Amino acid sequence: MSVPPGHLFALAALLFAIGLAGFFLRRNVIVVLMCIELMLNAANLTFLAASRMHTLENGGRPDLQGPIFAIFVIVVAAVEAAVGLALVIALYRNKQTVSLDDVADLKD
Amino acid sequence: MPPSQAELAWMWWIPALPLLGSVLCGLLHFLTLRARGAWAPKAGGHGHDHGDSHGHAAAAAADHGDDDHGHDEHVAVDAGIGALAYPVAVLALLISFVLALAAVVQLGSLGEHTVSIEGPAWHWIDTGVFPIDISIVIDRLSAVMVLIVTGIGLLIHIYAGGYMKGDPGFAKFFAYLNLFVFAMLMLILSSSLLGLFVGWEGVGLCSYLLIGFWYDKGWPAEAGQKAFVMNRIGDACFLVGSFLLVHLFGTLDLSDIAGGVAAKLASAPGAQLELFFAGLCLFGGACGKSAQLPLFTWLPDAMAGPTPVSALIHAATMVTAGIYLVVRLNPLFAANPTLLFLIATVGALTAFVAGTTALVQRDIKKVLAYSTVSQLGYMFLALGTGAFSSAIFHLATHAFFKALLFLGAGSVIHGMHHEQDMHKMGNLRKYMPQTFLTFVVGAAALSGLPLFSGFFSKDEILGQVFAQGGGYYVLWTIGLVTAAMTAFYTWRMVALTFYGPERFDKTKLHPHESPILMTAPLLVLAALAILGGALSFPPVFESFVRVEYLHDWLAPVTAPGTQILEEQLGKHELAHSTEWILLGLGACVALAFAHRAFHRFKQGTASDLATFERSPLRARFLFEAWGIDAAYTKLVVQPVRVLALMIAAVVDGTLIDGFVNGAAQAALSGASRLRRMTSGSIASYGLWMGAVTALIAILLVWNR
Repeated sequence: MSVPPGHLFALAALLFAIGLAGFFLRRNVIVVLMCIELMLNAANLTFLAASRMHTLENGGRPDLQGPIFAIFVIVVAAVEAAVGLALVIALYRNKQTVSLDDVADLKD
Repeated sequence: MPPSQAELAWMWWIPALPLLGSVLCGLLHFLTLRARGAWAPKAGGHGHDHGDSHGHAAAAAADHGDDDHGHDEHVAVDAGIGALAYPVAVLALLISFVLALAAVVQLGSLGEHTVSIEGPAWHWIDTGVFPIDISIVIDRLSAVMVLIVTGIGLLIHIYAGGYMKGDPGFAKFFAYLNLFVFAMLMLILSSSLLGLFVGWEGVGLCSYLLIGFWYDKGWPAEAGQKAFVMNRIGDACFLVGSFLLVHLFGTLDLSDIAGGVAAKLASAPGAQLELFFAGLCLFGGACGKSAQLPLFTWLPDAMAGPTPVSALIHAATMVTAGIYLVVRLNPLFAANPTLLFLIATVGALTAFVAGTTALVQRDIKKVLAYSTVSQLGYMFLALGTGAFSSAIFHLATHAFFKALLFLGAGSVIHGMHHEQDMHKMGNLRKYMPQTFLTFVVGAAALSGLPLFSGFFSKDEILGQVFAQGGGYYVLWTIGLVTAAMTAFYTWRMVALTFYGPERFDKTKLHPHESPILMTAPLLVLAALAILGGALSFPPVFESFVRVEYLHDWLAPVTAPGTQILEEQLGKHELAHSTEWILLGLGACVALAFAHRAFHRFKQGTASDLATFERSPLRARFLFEAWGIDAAYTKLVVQPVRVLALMIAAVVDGTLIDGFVNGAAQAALSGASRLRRMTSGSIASYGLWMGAVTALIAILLVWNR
């Protein structure tokens, strides 16, 4: 029934790695945003896994720090997604593109 | 015996009124400027209700003088609302004078034992260790000074209303003049050396402002700067001197210092040297302000200012501040005979050098300027002899007759449409009889013709010097020679100006007598110049006249210094027969040289020109005040310029510019490297962010 925390950590690391790779390698803004989302959720998973580990170590007394942090992260991620998508829409309206390569205008 | 509370309160008003007047005049000046900007940008003539017909006449008269001296050209301007400055300034000074008179009468009525009337103290600076309280004090010395400053100041203010009529800066002039009187009164009436210094700097500032009053002509502005810088040298000495006094006495209160010298001498024998240096430094300050030998070159240049300024500041009041300072702290100077002899020597040499220079000047104001320097030298000679009250006596009579002569010269200049060269005057007694008469009275007093005020004061000084004996005999000889020269140049000036052929173009120039506003003060001053001698008759007059009034009056002030002197050097008094001989000698010398000069120059300028032709080198040498100005240029100004250029090149050009430019260069090159970070690729920003975050995380973990 119970998944060992080590597995959860491994899954989180895998998710984070996928997100990181996507963040660096992809050019589509929406995909990059999705990758950031993926990394945030990997972090959430780490929080929950750590919380579970502490609960087990304390003999079943629940440790709530991890879940609470996860909720904060979810809130922040939601805000980030809202702002990010708004930016993407604004970008598309101006440039008719969502490719990061086309918006390097600040570079000299 | 403390005076009652009521008379304490209004003492403040004596200096406060001129300050108030100054502020009001300044305000009026701004109003005038605004009005002028709005209605008439150029010269006057716009109709409005302040210009009286008399003013227009004077302005017009000043206008049509078509003289070739471009620098003295005045554009007559209707003063507009600024004309109100005149009554304001005069009224402020008049009330101040009346108050001062009342205070002095009060002081006189309190008798011998009350030395001073003091106003309420003002805690100016309170550092805990070293509090400075300043109050307004009238003692017998400041009583004399305050009457001279406000009285003669009042006359000169009245005169200036005529002289400055039509000047674009009419209201500004009176603002400065009133400010000057305020500063001078602070100088005289302050109870503390620091308050005195405030006034000392204040009069310096006003002197600068007024010398450069016609700054748009260029050279007056330069003369003002010269005066300011020369005075600054003296003021630095003054400051060092007052630091020494704080060190010695722990206070800056003038009466405490003056009263403490004798005790200091008795208790600490080592203090003698420190007292000497304190006195020397203060004397250095006095040399700057009173135009004595090393620092006198600014005073002749100060003649660039309007003539009432020359009369008020550069003859009657400000330049006497040094003498006042020495008399005020007389025990300090009396404590050291060497210092006294030094003062006397400087005074005698200054009197002599300036006297010789005045012999060959052509500018009427320059003659008077060098004469002023010379007479101030006499006063220092008196101080150096320990004859403090004689110095004040000569100060007072000099204030009368020199103010008279300057105002007379101003009247001549005014009547001649700003011609100052005596070689272009002559026979003016025909055109300006009142100016002529009063001028002759002033000349008689200056040259020391018997029974005029200058005769008594000068001979009192020479008698005192003679009485000291020893090295003072040399100084007495110099003084007597200078007296001869004084008589000579004074009557040369009178003869060249008022007698002889008319050496100006009568078709172009129409000399005229000055308005009553200017001649009335001349008449009052002439009366004072005649009667001023009555302030103190020589002791030999004892048998038929009440003697030495001023000397007795000042006795409480000069007593501490005189006492120290008598302890050290003994009492010197002349036998009556010697005194008669000296008086007679002084009178003969004055009469002889006055007569000689008068007859030689009555004929015209030939004798003058001959002097220059016979030995141009010597004449040039005298004309340029023994080349002292040129020596300063060579020895001080040029080296300083070279030094300044070097510092500009090395310190400023290399060090400071190098540092500043280097900083800019570093910022530029650093920035050009840093900007490569802005690559435009999100991935690289992310990498930087991640890397730095990781770094911070590592550091945090590391330091735990």
